[in-house]
Amino acid sequence: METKKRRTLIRISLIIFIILFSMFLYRIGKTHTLLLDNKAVTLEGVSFAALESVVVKAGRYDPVEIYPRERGMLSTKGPRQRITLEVYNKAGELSLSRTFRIATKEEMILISLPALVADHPQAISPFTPPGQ
Amino acid sequence: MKKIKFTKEGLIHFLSSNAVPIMFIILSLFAIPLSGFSINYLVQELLTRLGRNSFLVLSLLIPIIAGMGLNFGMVLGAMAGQIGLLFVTDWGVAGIPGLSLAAIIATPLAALLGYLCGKILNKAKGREMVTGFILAFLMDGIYQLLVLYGMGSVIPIKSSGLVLSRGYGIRNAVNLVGVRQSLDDLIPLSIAGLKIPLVTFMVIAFFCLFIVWFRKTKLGQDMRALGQDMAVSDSAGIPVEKTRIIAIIISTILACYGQIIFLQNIGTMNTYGSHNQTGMFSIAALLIGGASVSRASISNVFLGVILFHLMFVVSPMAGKTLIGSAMLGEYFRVFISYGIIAIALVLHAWKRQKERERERLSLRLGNGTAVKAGE
Repeated sequence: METKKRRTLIRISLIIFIILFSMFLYRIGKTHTLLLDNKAVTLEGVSFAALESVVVKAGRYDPVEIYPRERGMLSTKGPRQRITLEVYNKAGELSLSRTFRIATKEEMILISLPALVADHPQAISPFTPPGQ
Repeated sequence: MKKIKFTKEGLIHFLSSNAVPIMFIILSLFAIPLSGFSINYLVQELLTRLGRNSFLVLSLLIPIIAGMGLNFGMVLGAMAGQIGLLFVTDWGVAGIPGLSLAAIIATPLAALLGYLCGKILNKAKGREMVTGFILAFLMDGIYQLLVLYGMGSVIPIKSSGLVLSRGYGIRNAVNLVGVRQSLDDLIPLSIAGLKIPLVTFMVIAFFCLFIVWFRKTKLGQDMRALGQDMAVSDSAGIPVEKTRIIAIIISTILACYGQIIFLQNIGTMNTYGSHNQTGMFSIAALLIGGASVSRASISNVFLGVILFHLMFVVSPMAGKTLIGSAMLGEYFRVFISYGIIAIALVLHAWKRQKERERERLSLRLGNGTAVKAGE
């Protein structure tokens, strides 16, 4: 009886472990689409002008170059994202990186690049495609 | 080590035991120069195809050890693997986590299908191959019903890239962009311009070690005993039916993982056809490697994959050079490849019949001697 009980307990623990491990895999493997917006934007009464040219890199993916009034797209994996921006303005060249987290349920994220460069807290927002 | 005797009988025995690989080697020797492909190209193709197919072919070994012949029921495992991949593609889980999650989803499904397959094969002892073959057709119908009508309506699938425009059912071709070559490219390695799928080879090597170890375990020994004589094993107290079911469950689960590895390399899934091709090609490769219905080894797997896929690569171009049409070359490849498989199966049946006749004759002669001695 004791052996049977222990066996059942081990089996239940194993099933719970597999479920938790699956959830972990889902979280670290979930892909997100980053929509990179290089348009003039006003957030909380503060205006941000579009950047003259910006190259965005995320992980091992190919970099995207975006000009004013353009929108680029990047596909990334996992909840923690680190993107590198190379901004080319009249003032010169600027290279900076930003780290942020994405909720697992979010499929698409809209990033306002001018606001992100200025480190505005509302630069990153969830995006729902029209009609969904 | 076995000593090789260079006698006439020994040579005849060697040729008759390895007739199929020898025929394929001769064919390849003719076809390679005709195709005009460089050695580098052929080696690259073979490395890719070895990584893609070896795991699937290896999954056939355990039922052969257990005397259940070639597991045509491996198609069931392949279906489970495809269902796992469909889910991770819909959920947008990519890379190694995506592949692992697909394997976790598919494992219980493959185990259940393997159990059902094993139960049915126990009812059809001695006719496992044809039963497995027909069972695969039955399960294909259920799979199609599930994927064509169940997914998107009963089972929620939301990705527009997967679901047909009518709102339910999965598209014929699924792009596995998230998991494409994620295992092959995990550790990028290139030697002399040849891209080597290192991690896939490591997984295959681990699987080979598992088979070597498994054969030495109690369960492995039981399976080997079953493969030799079921009645004697039963008398010795081996649970025959249970062991046979376990062999099929292991093979089905491994075929499921094999299909996931196969599809991550291809990067595109033919929803309604990939699994059928998998069964046929794996069994063909194993037979071409010199295996038979009752005897197969790891070396047969690799030799078979190399020879079978070498013909795949060179035959269209060889046909084009020889006849002027690549399609005719491909036709001849199919004709010759499957013709040789048919010959392999016929040769096996013929050999078994001859062995039985010889045994009967020796028994009769033995009895005769005994009668004479009694007089």
